[in-house]
Amino acid sequence: MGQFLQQLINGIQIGSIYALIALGYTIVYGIVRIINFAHADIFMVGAYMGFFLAPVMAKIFGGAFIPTIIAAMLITGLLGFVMEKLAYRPLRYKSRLSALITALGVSIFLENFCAMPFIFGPNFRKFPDLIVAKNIPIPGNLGLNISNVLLLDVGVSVILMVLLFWFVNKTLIGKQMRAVAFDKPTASLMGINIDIVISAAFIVGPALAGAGGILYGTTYGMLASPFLGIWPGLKAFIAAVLGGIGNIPGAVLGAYIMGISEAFATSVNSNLGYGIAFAILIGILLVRPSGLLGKFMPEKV
Amino acid sequence: MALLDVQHLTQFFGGLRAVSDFNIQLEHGEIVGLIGPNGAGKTTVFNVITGVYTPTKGTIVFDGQNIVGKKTYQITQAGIARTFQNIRLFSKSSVIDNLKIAYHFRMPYGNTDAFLHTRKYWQGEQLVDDYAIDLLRLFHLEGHAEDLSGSLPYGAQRRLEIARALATKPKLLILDEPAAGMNPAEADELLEMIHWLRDKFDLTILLIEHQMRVVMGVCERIKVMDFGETICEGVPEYIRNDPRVCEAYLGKGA
Amino acid sequence: MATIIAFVLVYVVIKSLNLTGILNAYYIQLIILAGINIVMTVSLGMVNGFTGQFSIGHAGFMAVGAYTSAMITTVWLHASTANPWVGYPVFIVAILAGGLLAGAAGYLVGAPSMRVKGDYLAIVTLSANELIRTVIRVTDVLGGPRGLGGIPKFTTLEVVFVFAIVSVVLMRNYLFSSHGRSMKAIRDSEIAAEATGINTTRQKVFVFVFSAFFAGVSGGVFAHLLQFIHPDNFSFMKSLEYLIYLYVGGSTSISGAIVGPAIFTLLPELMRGLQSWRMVIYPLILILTMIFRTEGIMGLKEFSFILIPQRQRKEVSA
Repeated sequence: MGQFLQQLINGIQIGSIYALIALGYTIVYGIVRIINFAHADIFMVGAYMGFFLAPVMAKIFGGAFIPTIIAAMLITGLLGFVMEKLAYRPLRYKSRLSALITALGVSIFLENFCAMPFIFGPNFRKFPDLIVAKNIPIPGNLGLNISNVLLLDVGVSVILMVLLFWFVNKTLIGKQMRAVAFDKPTASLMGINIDIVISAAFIVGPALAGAGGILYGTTYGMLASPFLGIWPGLKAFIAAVLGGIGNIPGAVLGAYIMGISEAFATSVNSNLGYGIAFAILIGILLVRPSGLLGKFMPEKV
Repeated sequence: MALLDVQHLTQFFGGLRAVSDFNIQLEHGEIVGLIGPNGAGKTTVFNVITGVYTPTKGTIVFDGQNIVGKKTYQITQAGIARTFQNIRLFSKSSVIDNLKIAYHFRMPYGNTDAFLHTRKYWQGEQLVDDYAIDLLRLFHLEGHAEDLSGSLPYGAQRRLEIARALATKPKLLILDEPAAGMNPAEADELLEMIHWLRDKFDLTILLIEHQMRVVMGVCERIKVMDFGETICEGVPEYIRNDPRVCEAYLGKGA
Repeated sequence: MATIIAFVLVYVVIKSLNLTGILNAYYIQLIILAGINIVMTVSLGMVNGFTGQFSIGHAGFMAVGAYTSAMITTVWLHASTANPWVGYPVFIVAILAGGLLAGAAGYLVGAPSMRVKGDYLAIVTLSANELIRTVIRVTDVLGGPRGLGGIPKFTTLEVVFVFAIVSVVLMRNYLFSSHGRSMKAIRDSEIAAEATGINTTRQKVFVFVFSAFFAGVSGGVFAHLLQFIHPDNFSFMKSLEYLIYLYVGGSTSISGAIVGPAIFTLLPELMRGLQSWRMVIYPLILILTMIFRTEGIMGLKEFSFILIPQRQRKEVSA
């Protein structure tokens, strides 16, 4: 029983990070209907920002975590905004396939450019200690372990998700984003500025990914290489698809399911942990392609 | 026996009822119109018949076969062809290829012949080329045979789309707002063409349209829909004077 | 016929340059690689360019073919088998077996994916690529993370030329048939293709499978050139290279799928110093191509030797 709960807790921890990444995929897809392959690399940039900014922030502000994560989010948000303006906007009226290909190109470019020695370099880096890791034993005799890092991961994610929820439902721009995701032509006819909404999506999504990057660095303590975003990105994307691509609560749900499944699978066999994401993907395709919370939107004929 | 027999067709999209207890029977050789204001449910009926959606309730029998649940391509192979409201040609293929594609499911050669260019392949290609070129001639498009279909002027594209539908050798042809974007002179030409199509190709035609001029000019029988239901049915003169129809169409008329 | 003549001419030119010492073994190897890349890119082009799909894990099928064929030749033959009468038939059987197994893998991946929205195909093929690599990595018999060596060297310039000619001609033939027209119809408007009586799912799956087959055979030819293969040879990065070759060359023509890999395989030689920048420059070229010349270098144009002769139509007086 203790084992079971422990894995569940681990899964929630991983799931929280996946959720932040998955939300970015789903928000962008909901509005422009493309899979932003480069999203995983924005997450990577966020993590590296933690590496570079933490010492600076510690000097200026004393404490490192909050200023670092905010700075990382600002930077990745800006990166997303610039990426859209330079690479995706010119393709707005061309075929979706061209946009997908370009997204792939941007992703590869970012990874390899960051791997250049004068940028991040291809080598392993130890992530700075933004907080002092402590283990908090749980009372009771189940032998459970929670570290304060876990509380941080889950806590920060939840706070950001709540903020997102408020943003999307209560602010004007958030409502405009929902309108555009639902029916772009009509939204534009009703006076909504599509350009601003798309830019907003490419700021909010990447910013969340940036936060995810900081949490990732804090949780795993190291940055393997500028290619570190690929796997988590893939899993987060599958999670978004699991929940229903374009659906915000769906992305969160999918991410936690993915995280928990992965935790249990890994505890059985590390290779299985690898494969569980694929198994979920195949499952979705065969059973319910629109995802758990997704609606099947037939193409208007 | 009716060529097409639709009974008690009801279609829900989630909680929205798009079509309610719709019935229609088409006899061989008829030209029938389905009209109604935008949102009346005409396109939904049409999409259900052609297999894009599976009906929530109801039966559809075509040429003696039940076609509910069949996929679109199977329904086309069974003998129902359609055109699209916003023209969907194969824009990066040539004009003649657009027609040849419609002949594919009748092609007598298979994958192996295609890879190896066997004698069967050459015979099949000759067959389809003759067939397609003859069909293009009927529509006065043979001069453009090798041009990219996307480069044709709008009117020619419309003709090509109809030609492509005919290339599948259908028994029933459904035209989806064929007069969209046409001026009155072009619409009149279209009327004549529809009569000619029915006679020359031995077709039954179902026309979905909301321009009265076209409908009144060519349909032998008309069904009027609004809010997913049939509100009136009969010959053109009867429909024209019906108060319910006038109400649904306030301001429009031929 | 013209296609074959063109390729034969190129071969004659290259062979004579080789024999006279102008092109040494290093350049010959490069040309062989270009030939392999051409078949890989043309087969990818069948799915991505002509059927309008977005498959991004093509190297995975290459891996299946490479490892299958290598296992067959290394188990059945000694690397030192000098007797060509025994060696070559086994080699041919091996690479065909590799192709067939790759085709089967293509079916496993393609069949469920083609039924659903095309967007997912990218993720599925990417995942399949990585999954295949992972399976190879954990399988000791295949050498796992150490790679598989001792593969007899059967691939020569002649072999590659025959292989490239046969493959390109077969695929070209298919493209210029009714089935090829259906593929293009699916690309241009899948809905209209369905409405014209085409079983789009079946056609998409079939193209995907034979494309995987050719990738598998290419993998076999590749394995018997370098005599050593490793899972990292067939990573997602490799798949990406083929995508770049295809889209920059022009995905809507076979000629584009020939020009792209030809340029990208031979070009790096001219840019020796920039090698480490390769994976930064290539994607940049891809992005710029998409923005400024979406149709790629060749667009819809084909070299004349790719086209098949047009039949004369009998004139009917108007």
